Formats: sequence, C-alpha cells, structure tokens
Amino acid sequence: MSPHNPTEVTLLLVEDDDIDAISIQRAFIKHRINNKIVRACDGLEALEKLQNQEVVRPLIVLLDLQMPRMSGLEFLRVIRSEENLKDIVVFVLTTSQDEQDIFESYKLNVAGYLIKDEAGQQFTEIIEMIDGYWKVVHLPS
Amino acid sequence: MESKKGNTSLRKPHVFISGEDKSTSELYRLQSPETGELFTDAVKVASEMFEDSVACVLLHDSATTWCNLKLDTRSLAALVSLKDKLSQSSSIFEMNSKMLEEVAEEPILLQESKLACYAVLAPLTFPEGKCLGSLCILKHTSEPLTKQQQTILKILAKDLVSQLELRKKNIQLENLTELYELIIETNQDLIFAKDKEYKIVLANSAFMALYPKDMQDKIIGFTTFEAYKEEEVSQFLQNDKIAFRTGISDVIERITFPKGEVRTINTIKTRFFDNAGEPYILGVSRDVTEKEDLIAKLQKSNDDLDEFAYVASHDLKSPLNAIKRLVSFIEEDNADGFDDLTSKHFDMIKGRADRMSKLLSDLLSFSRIGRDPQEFETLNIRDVGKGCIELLDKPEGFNVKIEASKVFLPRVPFELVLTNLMSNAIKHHTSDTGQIVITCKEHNRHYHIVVEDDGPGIPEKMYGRVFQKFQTLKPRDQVEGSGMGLSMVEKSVEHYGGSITLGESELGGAKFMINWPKKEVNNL
Repeated sequence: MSPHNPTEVTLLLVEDDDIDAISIQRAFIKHRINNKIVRACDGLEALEKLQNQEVVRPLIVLLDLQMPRMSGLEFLRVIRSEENLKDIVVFVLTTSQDEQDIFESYKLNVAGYLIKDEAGQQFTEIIEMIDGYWKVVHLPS
Repeated sequence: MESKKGNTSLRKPHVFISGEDKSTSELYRLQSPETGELFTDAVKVASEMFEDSVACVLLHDSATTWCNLKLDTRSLAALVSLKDKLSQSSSIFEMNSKMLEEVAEEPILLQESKLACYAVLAPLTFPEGKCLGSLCILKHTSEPLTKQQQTILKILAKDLVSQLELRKKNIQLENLTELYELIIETNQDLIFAKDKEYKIVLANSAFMALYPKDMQDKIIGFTTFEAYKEEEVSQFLQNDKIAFRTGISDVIERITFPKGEVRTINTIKTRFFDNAGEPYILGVSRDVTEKEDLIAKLQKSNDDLDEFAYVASHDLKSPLNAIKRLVSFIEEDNADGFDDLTSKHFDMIKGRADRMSKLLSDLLSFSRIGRDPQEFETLNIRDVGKGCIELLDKPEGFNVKIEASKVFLPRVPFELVLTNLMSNAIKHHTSDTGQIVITCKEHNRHYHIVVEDDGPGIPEKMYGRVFQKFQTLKPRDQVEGSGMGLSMVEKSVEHYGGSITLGESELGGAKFMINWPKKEVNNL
C-alpha cells in the first residue's frame, strides 16, 4: 500500500540538547522502532545534511525551535523557499508555548506543533504518534 | 477676558475672599480717605445745587459726618440723631421745623446762627436693599424742595451709591487679582501666555527663572525662540498651532532650557480670547522629569523581571529536567536494581530535583502575582473552596467546612490564597484526621475571611517569619515545601490592598484572618 516501507523512513532530529536527543533515541529503542535517526545540533547543520544528501528521503523532520546558529523558524523559512526541500514534512518539538511561535510555525506549513512535556514524560505519546504517522501516511519521495 | 476652550468649557474657579461676612464699613472702606473724599465731593455738589442750604452725609454705622459747613458739636450731635429716622424709608424723607424739633435733641444751628427749619434726607440704598445712611439737605427757611430739586437730590444720592458700589467691586477685583497673581507667582509650574505671533505676553517667576539673568528683560514681548534648539522650537510651534486651532494641546517633551538644563516637561496649552476677540494661548508646564525617569526605570525593572522569569522557567528548569531524565535512564538501564543505599540516593536526587523545580515554579508564580489584571466576579466561597480541595492531596479523614457565602473578588488570586492556606493546614497537621473551617463576613468596605484549623498551630514568635520568602517551619525533608506559599498568599492579598494576620484558632490550630477590600474601595 505504502510506496515505501515504513521502516525506511529516516527521522532527521534537529535538537541542540543532547539529553533530549538521547531521550528520543531511547524512546525509539524502547518502542522497538528501528527507523534511522540522523541528528543535527542546529538548523544550519540540518540544512547541510539535507543538501549534502547525508540524509535522504523518505524522511520526516523533528525540529526544535530554540537553537544556536540557526533557529527552527529560520530553518523552516529556508527549506520552504528551496524548490527541492519545500515539501519536507516537519514536526516542531519545543518547550515554547508562545502563541507567536505556534502561529509562525503553522504558517510555514509544519505538520504539527508538539510541546515537550516539562515533567519529562519521555516523549512516549510523541514517539507513538510519529510511529503511527509514517505507517499510514504517504510521504513525498 | 473670556475663556473659550475646544469642546469643553473651562471651569471657573470658586473664590470666597469677597467677604460676605464683613461689616458694611469694611466692605466699602468707609473709613478710607478715598471714600471720605467721595462724600466731601458729594456734599459740595449738593450744597452748590441748593442755595442757602447745608448738605451732609450721615452714615448708620459711623459717627463720622461729612458736611460742607463746620457745625458746632451740639448741632452735630443733633444732626446725627436724625439719621435713624431714615432707616425704613426708601424714598426721600422731609421734615418741617416741628418734626425737626421732635426728632433732634437740640436745635441745629446753621451758619450765621440761623436754626434749621427744614430738612430733607435722601437714602443711600444699595440695589440689594441695604441702607447705608443718607444724603441730607438742611435749610433755615421752611420752604420745601421743589419736585425738580427733589429729583436732583435723588439722582445725587443714587450716584453716590453707584460710586460706592463700584468702589466695592474694585476692591474685590483688586483682592482677586492679587490672589491670582500670587497663585501664578508662587506656582512651581511654568505659567506663560503667548499671543498669535507666539510672543510671550505673560510669564511667572518659575518661567522667568529658566532664562539667564541678562535675558530676563527680553522675555515679555519676545518669542525667545533663539534660546532653544531648532528642533525644539519647531516642536513648540507645532503645539502652539494645535492649541490655536483646536483649543488645547497636551504634550510631554524633553527640552534643553536656555541655561542648559535638560528636563522632561508636560505642557498643556489652552486657547483663550481677549475682549477684542484676539486669540492667545495659556501654557502651563510641569516638570515631570523625575516621574518620567521613575516610570522608565520601573518599566526596565519590570522587563528585567519578565526576562528573569523566563530564564527561571526555561533555562534553569531544562538542565534540571535533564538531570531527572538521566537518573531515570540509569535506573532503566539497571533494571536488576541497585543496592538499597544507591536506590535511596537516587530517590533523593529525584526528590531534590523535584523540589528545585517546585521552587522555580513558585518563584515564577510569585514574581508574576499582580502582573496580569484579573477580572472580578461573583464567587461562592464554598464552590471555590471545593474546587481547590480537589487539587490538593487531602486525606480521607480531613473535614473541610466552608461557609456558603458570596464574594465579588478575582477568582485566580482568591483560589491561590485558599489553596495555599488549606494545603498548609493539611501538610502541617500531625494526624490524618483534622478539620479546616473557612468563614467569610461581609463588611462595608471589605470581606473578612478566616481560614482556621485544628492542627499544631504556629508559635507566636514565628508569626512574622512564616510570611517571608523561602521560609519553612520544618526541614524540607520532613515537610516538603518551597517556603513560598504564604509569601504568595500575602503578596496576592496585599496586591488588592488587603492584609493578612495570624492568630490562634479556638479549634487549637492556626487561624489566618484576611481583610480583602471590595472592588469599589480600590477604585476610589
């Protein structure tokens, strides 16, 4: 049914906090999700990895907003203006509950805006959502 | 001068220095040389109008008599006794020799030893009906005044009254002018007026003092624009024009004064017209430098606080969350378990991290109290209290009794207060069973809310301490808490102008008494 095998989908994790990144990786293991995770520490590194084909489609991006060098929103603006990147599916994962951030993100066509649980619930629901998402959704190739 | 203002009319000031309670003599300055001159002139004119007669002015309130002829003392005394005859008379009053004899105690001796045989008194009556005295003509012949002469006498008396009236008004005006001048001169605000050519036509001392001594004679009649910077002058002109056009301008501006001082000034310019219809503007400038500086400082410190609040909530919390998460990773990765001591230490790490997290949240909440305006609404204390209990970890055996009464207060701070007080009562209670009683009495200007319990209570010498930030009565390892609860309660109540005091409850525990002012009281 899917044009791709769900496990072939790569997760590009753009996150400056090591522990948040580790948490996602651990949650993948815990939920026995075998998809490849490629991590970038900020928007610029993520952009390079995309342009240098270090990460290839099918992919989805999990994007933090507050990051050094290039923020999440800046990263979104860049990929939405580039012909070969503008269709990439991006989820925002951030601690920011700022209305403006939410508004701006959706204007830049994110697939969803997810807020990190402060209490440190280890992203269980988010991981389950992503796993379900790439099982049922047709991604652009 | 007539004052006109854009669309609202100026209120006229009320002045009560005209002295309604003053005596007639004071009011008209009857004893002053100027008034004496007025009377002397009047009797001179009257005596010249009526040949062979003596004219005099008799006053009710005064023993002084003005006469064109020097009378002997006894005649003068006799003359004075005539004046009472007139008090009820509103028109002229004639007396023949017989009547004169009856009224006067002594015969009145006129010039050349002739006795007065005929007298006519014209009352000096003010428009409001008050009779000051009379203008009196005495003749040594018994021939009465002709109709024409009577009219002349009436006119003379009337003229005297209007002159006195005018004098009184002048005196009042003088007083008022002096008062206004005093107000203008002693005012610390800068007061000035400009004509339509922007030349200064009035300036008080405060305004004059802005200029160096050698410039002070070049202020009235000048624009003084040369003493200011070009951009400031164009700012002045713009506001002058607005005032001339619309009737008023109100602006806060930073001005470099001629002496070099830089101040922030709030200037209100109001247009007015003189009798000829020429427009002017009256400027009143208040130095608001300190006020504006304080506002700016306050703004800055509020911004800093916001930034701090953000740092506290985000930047300090995220490493803390990371620590918690790392600890849970280690625990997960060592599913076989640690020895008891290590497990205990891990639990302590988590406990301390939770505590710090709570401290940061409470500090953040504390800093934000009163920052966002809260809507007042009608609240049923019992309903609000029950809502708060649901969020608390209340043991089954705890009985909370809340009086059902209505208050009109902001919900969020009210909930914060109830929740914290009840939470303390439960937390510090020595047993799992206990009771909390909440009552509320409505007073004229405030609500008196009491929250009391049957717990261990608070020692009196700790009453002041418990409201301080980060203060706990027990080690945090025994009773978990940030020590911010009562600080938040106090700050919330005080933000609305209220107060909280502590006492001993008849139930045996602590009793918190809150006076929370009603909304109207704060709006007064």
